[in-house]
Amino acid sequence: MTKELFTQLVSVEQKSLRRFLLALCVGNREEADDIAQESLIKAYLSSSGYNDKGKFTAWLYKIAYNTFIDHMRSACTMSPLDDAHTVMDRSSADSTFEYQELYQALDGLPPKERTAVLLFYIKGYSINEIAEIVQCSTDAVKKQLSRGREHLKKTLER
Amino acid sequence: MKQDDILADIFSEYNPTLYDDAEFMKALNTKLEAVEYIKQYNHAQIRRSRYMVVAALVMGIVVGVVSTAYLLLFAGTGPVINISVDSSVLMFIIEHSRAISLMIIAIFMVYAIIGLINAYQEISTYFYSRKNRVIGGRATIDNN
Repeated sequence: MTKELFTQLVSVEQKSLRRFLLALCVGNREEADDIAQESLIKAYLSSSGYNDKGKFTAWLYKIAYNTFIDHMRSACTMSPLDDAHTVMDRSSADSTFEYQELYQALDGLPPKERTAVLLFYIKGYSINEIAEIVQCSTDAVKKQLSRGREHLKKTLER
Repeated sequence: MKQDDILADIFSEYNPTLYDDAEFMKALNTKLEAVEYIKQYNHAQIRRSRYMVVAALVMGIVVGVVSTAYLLLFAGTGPVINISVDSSVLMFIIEHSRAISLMIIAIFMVYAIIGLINAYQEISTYFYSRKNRVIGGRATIDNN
């Protein structure tokens, strides 16, 4: 895939991808955009091996999900000082405090459940498609969705 | 299902404002250009090292074969070269020409063997990277 074609495809998808990542990062814009950039670079680097015609978006989301999980893992090894910095970033991330309730509810979900819920509701992907993106069985995705919905229900009702 | 409807409503209204799209794409393009430059540089380096490996291999084999053939033509224990000179250095070289020739052959043969090993590694790396080329998985950035 040429750089021009890749850029063309990405320019159509980037907005939707960034919104998904923003929800996944529970409102932390800097982190969401960093992950989006890193995911797109990874996608470009492996685009020569991409031959799944018609599933470019799902392929991008798979890379974005993996990159997000890698970020989560590296964040676990952060020092307490770094953690404090992140918390400060998060509180000031969404200046309008829009969707703060939703982000707080999503924050209580484990990453896999959060991803399943977001792919289902924001992107409208089917269970099978989600299973392919998060590399899980369909049964596992069904459980993640069910638990995610339950948690969101409880949190948003409060 | 009612709860699902509520969640569907919440997410259907989810439309947060993002940082400027043009800025995002500009930053991405800058990074892609840097990636492209590094990729081209790496490819050029790999190509150059492959040529060097092939040249070393050919040179090692040619010199090894020629030197061995030359030594075999002068079987025995006497000097390989016979020139009447007065210089003590040249006399030393002539007297020990057989040992010197063997050392030179050994050096070139070692060079050829290293070349062969490098060529084998290059080929196996090429096939390995082709086999594992991806697919959007983790740790899939191909350094080449």
